[in-house]
Amino acid sequence: MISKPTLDVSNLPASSLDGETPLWWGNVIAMAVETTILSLLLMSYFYLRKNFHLWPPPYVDTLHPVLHPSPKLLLATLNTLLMVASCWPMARADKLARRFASLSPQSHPPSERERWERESNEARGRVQRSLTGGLALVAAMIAVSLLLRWFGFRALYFDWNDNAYASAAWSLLVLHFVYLLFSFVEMALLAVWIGALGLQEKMAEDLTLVAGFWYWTVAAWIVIYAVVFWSPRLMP
Amino acid sequence: MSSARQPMAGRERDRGREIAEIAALERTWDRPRGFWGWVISTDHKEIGLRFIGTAFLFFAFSGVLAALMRAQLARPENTLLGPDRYNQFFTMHGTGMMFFFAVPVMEGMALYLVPLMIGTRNVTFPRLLNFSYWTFAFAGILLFAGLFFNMGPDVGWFSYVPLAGPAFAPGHRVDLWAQMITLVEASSLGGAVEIVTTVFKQRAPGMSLDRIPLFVWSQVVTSVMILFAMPSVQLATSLLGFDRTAHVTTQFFNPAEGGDPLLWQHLFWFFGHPEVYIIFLPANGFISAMLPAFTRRSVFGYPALVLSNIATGFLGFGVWAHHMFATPLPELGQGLFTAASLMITIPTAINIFCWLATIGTGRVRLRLPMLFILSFFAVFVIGGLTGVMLGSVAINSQVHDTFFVVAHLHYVLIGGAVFPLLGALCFWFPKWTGRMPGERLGIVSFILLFVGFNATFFPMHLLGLMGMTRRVYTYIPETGWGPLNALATVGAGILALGFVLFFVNLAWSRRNGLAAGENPWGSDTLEWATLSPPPRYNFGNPPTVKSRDPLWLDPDDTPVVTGLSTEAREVLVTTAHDAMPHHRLHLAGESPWPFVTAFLCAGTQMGMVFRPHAYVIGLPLIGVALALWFWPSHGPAPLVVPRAAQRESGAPGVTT
Repeated sequence: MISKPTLDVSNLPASSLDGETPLWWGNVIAMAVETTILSLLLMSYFYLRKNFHLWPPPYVDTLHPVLHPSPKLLLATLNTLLMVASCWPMARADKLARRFASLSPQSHPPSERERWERESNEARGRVQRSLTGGLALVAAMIAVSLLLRWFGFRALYFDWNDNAYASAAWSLLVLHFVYLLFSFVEMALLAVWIGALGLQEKMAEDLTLVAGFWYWTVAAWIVIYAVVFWSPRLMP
Repeated sequence: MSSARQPMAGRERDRGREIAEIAALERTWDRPRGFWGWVISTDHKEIGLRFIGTAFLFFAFSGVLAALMRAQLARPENTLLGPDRYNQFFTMHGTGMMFFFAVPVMEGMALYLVPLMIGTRNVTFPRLLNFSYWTFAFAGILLFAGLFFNMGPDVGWFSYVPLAGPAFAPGHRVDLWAQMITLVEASSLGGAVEIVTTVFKQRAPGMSLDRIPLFVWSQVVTSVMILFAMPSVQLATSLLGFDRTAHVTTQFFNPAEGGDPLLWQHLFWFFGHPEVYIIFLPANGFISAMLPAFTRRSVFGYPALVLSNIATGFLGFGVWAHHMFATPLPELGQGLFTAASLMITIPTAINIFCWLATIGTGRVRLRLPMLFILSFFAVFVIGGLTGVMLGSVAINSQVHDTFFVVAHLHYVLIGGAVFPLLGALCFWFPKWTGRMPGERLGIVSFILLFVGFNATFFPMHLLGLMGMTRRVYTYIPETGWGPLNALATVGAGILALGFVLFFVNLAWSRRNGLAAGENPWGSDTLEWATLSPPPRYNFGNPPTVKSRDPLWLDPDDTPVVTGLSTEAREVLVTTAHDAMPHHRLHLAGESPWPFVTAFLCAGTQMGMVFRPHAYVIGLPLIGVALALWFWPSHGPAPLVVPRAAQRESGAPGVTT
């Protein structure tokens, strides 16, 4: 091998924050797989709809029957607003993580690197603190969202095993509940790790990916919200 | 830094440094010793071979079940197997072959070969690799164990509701099936994520999209199909599980409460038909990879082959309803799916004609793997033609659920996938073991396989046309089906003997075969540029490439990659399109947690067979295991860049 010319890669950076990292690809693939599952479940919802004359079917297991038991809007709408609002601190933490990476000594020419290291150490400390705070805020917002969702299952009138409509609507809400739970654990752990171990390049990358997945989760909710809560009203 | 004409002392110094580097690489990439080290291994070659070996074990079990079924059908009113056992056997035969052999064995081949073919040291997510293997192994073992505990699923490999629903299939047989299928598809998804990210992010510098080996292209298309097909069956089996589980009892497939049995068929076949291409496309890749070695030319029509693979990937998702022609589909839908089913023959035909052109214009060497390739053409084309027949609604309604379909699917799957796979095993055997497979015994086994296969399955076409339906455990003499069934059973015996000899030959060659060297077939792709078997780090210095056939066409002075750490498990990440060096990636090392997570997932799914509470206990435990899996290592990761190296080169970047 020494008789061959060489391509020396020792000066390439050891991490990156753009769409060229394998983790970014892994994250996109995870979102594609989840989008597939969600889409198939949404299709199943509409496929089952053709078996019903009234959708949702009349709710009669009560002294006060309801002819059009469309899911109640209040908690779900509040939740939608909360989740959309949480994108702002998330985006800010995302931006800070990228700024942190840009403060890395590696991203500057060697001649300026020493000065940068001195100045950036302080800047990096500041970034780390406000980033941990932002992350904790998002985690707290997701916790509230989880609570709202937990009580929001009752908006559906039916139990999950009452009929196929109820099974389809419940499963959409439960699936998204699992996403929320997953995001909550991820954010909380990341906040704890950054707080305890200090922000590392690797965590900055993780954070940008977690943020991407959170935007996806919010977008998925908006679709589910429209289908479960509005489609029975707008397309009776 | 070229060193073609160095003084003697300089060369010796370089030689010393090279030996030290290799020793460091050996140390860095070695895994912990002993049984536990074996369990937690993250080496793509070790796990790839383990996937292949385990899949063939399940293949053998499923094959024995098939042989017993053939023995039962050998003559009318036979009493070897009762109806209940027969039901369990055909269900587990199909399930075992499709979910636990065909897909995993192809992924195993990909996991072993793809990183070597694209010139990198390991897959992108080594721990996920370990997790994928163990979920697959646990799911297979638990499902096959069901046969011994009177829990063998008995409703056919596609578990149609309402037969598989709670009303008609009480007990836990179908629950076991549903939960284990959900589990094994998690494994397939993990493998697919590995292949896609590794191929798009870790190719050797210079291996732009139009220089990716055809085998790797096939595996990429397959993996992308897995990403969109497997979620469908996972969703279907989860919903079936919920419908069946006490205290949950959702109503997705229960018509009495507005559910719909046809929803199951749609969800299942939206996975089920792409599944056929998920099995066929890798085999397609084997042929494209083997042909150059045995025709002494590169494969004819590279762009056409790549594009038709991609076209197959797309069209494969548009034909699922041709499995449902016997259901009340709208007429327009029937026409559409007939058209799509016929259209998908176009890219397949392009493949076949490109390969024929390669063989026609090359200098053919009839070695053992080449025999399997040639048998592929004969058998697969017959299967393809009966496929076109089945794609038409009129014929389909006549022969639906008869042995004609059984014959068709075995011609396609054995001819289209298993024969190329056996050829591929012989072809890459020298890379795995360092020894050549024995030719003489190999040819004998090939003849037995080819004759046995046709004797088994050709009569089934006729049986189907005579009206023999699938999944009947016996028949009366007056039907006249006896002689052809007897012939098929004799054929199955010959086929089984062929498989035994094939593997005896490989086992014998493992010890006694001729030494192979790096590139015994004189092939053109990068896996042949390293030792046989390859070291754990694959390449001393990872290669760069300048053409599609690097071992044939690249000049001797093609550079090799230096500057990756020898003290940490580092790989070079390149850009997705042009494979330009982008950054260095520190891969994760061994950890017990992927194995523990797989174990907990298997335990949770197994618990769900009996009680829904298993999720309540299992999911938090899985969460903890995942957190430990991803727990960051202490201290900042080394920010790389030895100072000296920076000063030497001036600015960050790549120097040649």
